[in-house]
Amino acid sequence: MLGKGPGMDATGKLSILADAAKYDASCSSSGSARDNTPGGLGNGAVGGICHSWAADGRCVSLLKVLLSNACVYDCAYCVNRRSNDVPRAGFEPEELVRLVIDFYKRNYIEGVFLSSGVLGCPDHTMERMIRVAKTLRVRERWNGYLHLKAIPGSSAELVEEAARWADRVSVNVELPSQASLARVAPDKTPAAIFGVMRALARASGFEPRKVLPAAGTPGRLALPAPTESAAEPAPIYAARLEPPVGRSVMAARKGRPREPGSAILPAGQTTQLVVGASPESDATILTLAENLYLAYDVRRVYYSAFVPAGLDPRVPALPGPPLLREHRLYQADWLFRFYGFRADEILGPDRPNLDADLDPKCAWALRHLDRFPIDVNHADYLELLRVPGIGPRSASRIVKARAGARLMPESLKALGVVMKRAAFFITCSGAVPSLPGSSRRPVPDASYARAALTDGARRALAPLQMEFDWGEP
Amino acid sequence: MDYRAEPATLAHDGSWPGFLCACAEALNASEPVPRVVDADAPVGLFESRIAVARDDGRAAALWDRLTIKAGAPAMRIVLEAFLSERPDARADTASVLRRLRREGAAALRDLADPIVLSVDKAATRARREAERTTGIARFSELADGSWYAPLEPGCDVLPLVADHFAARFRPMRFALHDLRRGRAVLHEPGRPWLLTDGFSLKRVEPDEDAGPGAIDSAMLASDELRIRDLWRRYFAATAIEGRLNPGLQAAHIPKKYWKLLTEMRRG
Repeated sequence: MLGKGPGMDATGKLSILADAAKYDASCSSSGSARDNTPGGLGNGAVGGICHSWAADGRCVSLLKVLLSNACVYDCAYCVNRRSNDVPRAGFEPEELVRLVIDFYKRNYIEGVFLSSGVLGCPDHTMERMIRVAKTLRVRERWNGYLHLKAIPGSSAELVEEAARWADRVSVNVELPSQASLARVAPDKTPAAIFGVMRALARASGFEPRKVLPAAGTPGRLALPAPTESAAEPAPIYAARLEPPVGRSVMAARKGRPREPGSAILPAGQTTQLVVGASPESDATILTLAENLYLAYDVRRVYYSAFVPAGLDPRVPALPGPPLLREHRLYQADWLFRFYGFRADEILGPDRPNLDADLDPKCAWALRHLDRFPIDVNHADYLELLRVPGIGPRSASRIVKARAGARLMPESLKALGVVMKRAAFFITCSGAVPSLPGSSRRPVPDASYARAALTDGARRALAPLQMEFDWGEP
Repeated sequence: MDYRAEPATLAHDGSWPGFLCACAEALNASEPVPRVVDADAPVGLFESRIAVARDDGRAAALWDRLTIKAGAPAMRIVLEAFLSERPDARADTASVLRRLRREGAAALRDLADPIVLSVDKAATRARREAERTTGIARFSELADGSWYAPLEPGCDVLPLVADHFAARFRPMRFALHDLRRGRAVLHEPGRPWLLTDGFSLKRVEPDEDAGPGAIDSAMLASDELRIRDLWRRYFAATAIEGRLNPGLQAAHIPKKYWKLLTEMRRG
């Protein structure tokens, strides 16, 4: 049943294996400054390069394919699960290597994102992917961006070897709780997933931090031991980190400079969570994501709106992918990494889900009006970052510009500040900015403020997302 | 020279060295400083325009002097602003050089000064266009084993992207062709790249109907069309049907760029 040999040509395989790989959200090609080798082809671009944009608006940077979409696992959210009736195909390693070089020389792609269905056992599958990686790097002397997907449960040795050839290796957490993982992806265990994450953290020189059971939750469950990582305790999802806690992801990263020139895993590891295939709240998802950033030095957590792929009773029959929810989660994730927010500042037990109408920073600011307005001529960089309408770029421009002259409200727009939002939260040495296109004074607790701060995300994304009743938790 | 009598302007020939020579002249002038203009710009009624001759040695000397004073990153911004081809960017860049000479790189941080801000914005524009170009240039393999990529960038980005492509495609013999400006970066393995004016791809038989950058199929390597087709297949397969969003796609890659993108056209 595998489309190999004379039955299927490269064109047919490419269509099937690209189609099967597209639900992985990661397409980033950043973080690596791999040099071209003498006589070799290609290099890394630290900032990453987008080469095109697909009809769904997502950037196309990497050739994202599976080595094979035949899979012995049966994960309910996944189009390639063994119980799903789809055509199956697999690349011969040589075919794939040829394709990568042909595309790369035409500047179609920045590199490859190679994943695979599980063939036989995890280690066997990893070995096949590593063979392709090694051929590209050694025989073809190719130095483009290589992202390998690790299979949960692979041995630490193979994970380390993958890390030697790749710029980035990732393993997907997929479901935000142990119970959901057991129900939706019965062949994967937390220990198998987090074991790989630990090996990846170590490969890039980061000693993973110990994850303790969250206070007030039942302890860890007995889990079947995965290969090689049996000696380590299996972490559980609802977890808290060993002290010191209370540091934001941004603060924790300050002491860990990135090394894009590193030979091993210059772009680190990432992971992905499927959103909407299970009943966890945004607070659960964001707390888990923050722990992954802090415990394993994950570079990015991707949130992938669950796209119903055929009928499977273990996952909800959503009318469409929950794109608005995914969008708000990404906004919150940005607040971790670039704005110095902690997960418990964004959401908590009393507020389990993100606001549909406001971006998470606006929502936070409206809950903390006692901290505003702030004076842009005196506030430090971190305080500026907390202002809706001011981002890292405009905040650093403000700090630069005010060294020369005192800033007045009129000069802020040119520095990139979105005055429509910022006007509610700032002064310029006492001068209150006016609201663009309005004669009203910007008063953040006025009745019209919330409407003025509402962004267009719900209008753009919500028609595609309907509420699903999960019943009683 | 004494420019004080009337509002004088200094005209350059549009080239980068020519522009720097006009800037050098302006830096030598006393207040009020004459504006630096493109020789193509219409002459104002009361304008007294002085053409400054291009002198590559003089241009290089000014460049070196300013680089010592302000540092290479600041001078990169100056070059980017010049290449942006924004209406006032060159005149503004010329007057910013005066501050650069006096204050060094710090001058470029004073974004409260509208001239500095204008230069910063122009430079950002050219830098973004160059970044975009590194992604959307599409090479075709020709029958002789060389590679050809036609471009129509909004800014004059060739000098900004040549290093990138030369490093990445070191073993390849290639031409990056700016169709709009008729210039090309030519790269031979083992040699530094070269910028050539008045470049055109030789055509086997001129085809009036072919779009810009089109190549006669007789000139293409035998596998070229098959690989283009594979890429189109991949591009179509990688979009998620449940999330189609043509508006977002067009926001990222405006349609004016589509005609040179393999995945957006036939053939």
